Amino acid sequence: MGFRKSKNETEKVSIYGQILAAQSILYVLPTKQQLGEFVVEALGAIPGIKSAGLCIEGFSKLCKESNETCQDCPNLELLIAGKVDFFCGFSEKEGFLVIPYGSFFPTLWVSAN
Amino acid sequence: MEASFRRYGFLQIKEYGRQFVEYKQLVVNFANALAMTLENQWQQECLRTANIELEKHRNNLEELVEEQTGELRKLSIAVGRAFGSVIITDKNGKIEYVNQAFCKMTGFNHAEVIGKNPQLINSGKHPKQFFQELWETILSGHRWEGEICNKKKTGNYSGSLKVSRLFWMKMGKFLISLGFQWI
Repeated sequence: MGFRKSKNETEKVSIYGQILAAQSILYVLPTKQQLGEFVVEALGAIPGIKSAGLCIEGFSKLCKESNETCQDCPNLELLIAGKVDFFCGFSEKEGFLVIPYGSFFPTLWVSAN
Repeated sequence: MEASFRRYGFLQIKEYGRQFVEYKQLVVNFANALAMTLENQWQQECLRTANIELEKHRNNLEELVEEQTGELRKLSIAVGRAFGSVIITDKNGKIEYVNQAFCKMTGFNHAEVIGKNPQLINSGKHPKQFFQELWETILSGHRWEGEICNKKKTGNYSGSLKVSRLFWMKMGKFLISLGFQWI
């Protein structure tokens, strides 16, 4: 019948569900460490992604099956210092996609005049 | 209020296949949700720190108030029971407080003098210039000492009293301490 979906579509829906479910769990994880661990595991389990890594201020969890380390990455310091023109070395590596993430946050500006 | 961009980090996806392209946008959204979560965590942390600071200040203030209240209580008892009569007026000269000794010496009770001017006990024996000089001395921040002849409620002169201390207090009150000494 018309409602029957192809295997491909079913898998796509399943992936979408997986990502959305993982997204809804983020808010209940209280620490950067827990968030990092969870994100890496959750994304790494999605079909089409071999492994995922995450870099947050003060926390870095690298891709599974990778010997790369960014603990010594000088750019991480820049990130922590709040420099926005930050460049992640992984984006130059083949087979890697680097997604920078951030948020807008309200800042109160007080002028002396 | 303005908004600034705060970058939290990078999500690294390794060996993503063709299939990934179809849901790349969802992963980007996921990364943004992660940023918002971190933003919330950061703000909660700021609030927690601010609350701890506030609590610390509150405790310090409470301690200070308790200490000062204790001092004031002691002072109040001392003034209330002093042998010398004490009058406290506001900057306009209205009486705000008199102690028991004042009531005993003049015959007025509290209710009769609160809100009134110390002129109430003026015997009229001193010329206007006398009081003018007295107030000028006080208002210039100096201590005035001298003898004032006051009047009792009954109209009899209470005798000449030595004003041992009359000074301007920082809080905008005059504390007039009338010595108990009869001359």
